[in-house]
Amino acid sequence: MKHLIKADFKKMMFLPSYRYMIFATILLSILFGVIFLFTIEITQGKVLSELSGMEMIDITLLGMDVAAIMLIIFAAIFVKKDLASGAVHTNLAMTPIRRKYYLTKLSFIAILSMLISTALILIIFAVNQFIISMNQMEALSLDSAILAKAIGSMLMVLFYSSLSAAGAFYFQSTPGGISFALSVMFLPALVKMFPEDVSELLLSVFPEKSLHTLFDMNAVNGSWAGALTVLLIWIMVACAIGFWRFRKMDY
Amino acid sequence: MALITTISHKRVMQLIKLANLTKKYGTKTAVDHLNLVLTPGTVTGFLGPNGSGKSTTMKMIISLVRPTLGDVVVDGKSYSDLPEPTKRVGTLIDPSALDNNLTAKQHLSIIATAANLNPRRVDEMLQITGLENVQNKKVKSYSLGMKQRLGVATALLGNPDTIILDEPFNGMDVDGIKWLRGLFKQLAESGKCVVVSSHLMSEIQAVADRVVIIGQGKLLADMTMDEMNRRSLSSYIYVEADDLDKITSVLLDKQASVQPSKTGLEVRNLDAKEIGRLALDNQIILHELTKVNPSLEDVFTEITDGKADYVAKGVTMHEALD
Repeated sequence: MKHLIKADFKKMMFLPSYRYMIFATILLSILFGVIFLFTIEITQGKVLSELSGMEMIDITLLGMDVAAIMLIIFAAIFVKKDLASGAVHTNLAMTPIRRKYYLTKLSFIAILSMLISTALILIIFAVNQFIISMNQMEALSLDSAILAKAIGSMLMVLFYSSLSAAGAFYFQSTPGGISFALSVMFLPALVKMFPEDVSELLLSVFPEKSLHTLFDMNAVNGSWAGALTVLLIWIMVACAIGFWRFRKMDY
Repeated sequence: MALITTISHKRVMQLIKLANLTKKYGTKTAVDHLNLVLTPGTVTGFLGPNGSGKSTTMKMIISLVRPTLGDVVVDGKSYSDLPEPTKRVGTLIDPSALDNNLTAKQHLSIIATAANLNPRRVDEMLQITGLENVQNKKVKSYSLGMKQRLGVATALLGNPDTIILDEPFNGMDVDGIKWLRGLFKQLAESGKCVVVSSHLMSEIQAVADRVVIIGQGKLLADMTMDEMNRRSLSSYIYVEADDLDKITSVLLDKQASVQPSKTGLEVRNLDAKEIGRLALDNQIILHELTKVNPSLEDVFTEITDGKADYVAKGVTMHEALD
């Protein structure tokens, strides 16, 4: 399987459209993170120099949401392009075991998401340190709270891009994969319109709350084990459904 | 061509076996209880009218389509159970199965990486298929013939024992067709099993050792080219003589089937030697005595008559527009 993943990375490097998309993902995520930080006075009425280092990281890491959305799009495009009429014949002739093909694509998306989100977190951390030093504030130390935020952000990107890939396999389309992942991402906002007791119940099964629990591990009284379980169930069910459809398909 | 290696003699002689292979899409039966054995060292022409199930059969061989009934085994195993499938079966199902923004070299390099093949094979295949000079051009600038060449390069990349090509002559120029003919012969001579589907009957006739014809998903014929020439109703003896009426009467007495044609006769059920002897016995001067073998197209039409799903009704454009 490692050769197949390597071939996918090769394909990503060869095709300009994929390269530009990855570049845009990194650039936009950092840009939006910094924009959120510098517009904090307008959006939340707070002065930048009065923010703590942790608050600054919190705001800048909102750029990771942009990364998640960009990788949702990338994952759906990547999966569907290889399943497109014609291309799929070469790909499946080379990897006729559907399970292996499916796991390869999901692994590629997962590895890519991890690599990009790790790079982004390091860049965001460095940008924050730079802004802090420019404002002569106290430098950030890499403590457990920051690590939790970093891991939480990475998991969010990994989670949504994997959902998108599984969705693209299930719907056999790029819009299908993107819509599925974005629905899971934004449905909690709609659920909040229900009465509180209903929305509380529904929100507990949506991944958003679990991701926040992991992100704010030190700040909120949430069970990280419970949160991880919810995320795992979502991923496992989505992947199983995606594979079930893919396995049955004739090309 | 040293780049195409001869297959090991240790291998079993039977490479691919289709047993009772059936594929149904709802109520439509695309492939109907097909039994076939594809053997090494031969070029097999796979023929059938449009929608006869050729492509579906090819796709079932490489597990792209799951059979409703029956199975396909490659050396006793399902294609999907083969440890290194690209080294056993190489396929060209669709020449558009390429990313237009890749170059030929990049495309082959990705396949070689995925299949864990020696990267040297990429350059070798570019050389074999004559794409060396355009290896760094994007596929979108390629003609259909060049895409076909790249498809053949992809199929041969793993140096497989069996090569399955769906309509490889499409879009090929004269030079490309000549090259493909030579390549198929070389592959078969090196012990490989080559399966080629094409609607260009003359091309199949030029390269195939064996012809398999299917219609409405059923096997209609499976024979060598020699058998085909012998068995077809389309083969006859063309006779020209100074007294056509007299020789017609003599031939009819011998239960031959005689039909006027051009300035002579088409004679069936009697061989040339017998016709010559009868002419001599009856003092008839022969101007021509020729054995006419049918073209593959004739045989194909003869065998698939009434077995095509899509047939033009012979309505003229004028009638259609009225």
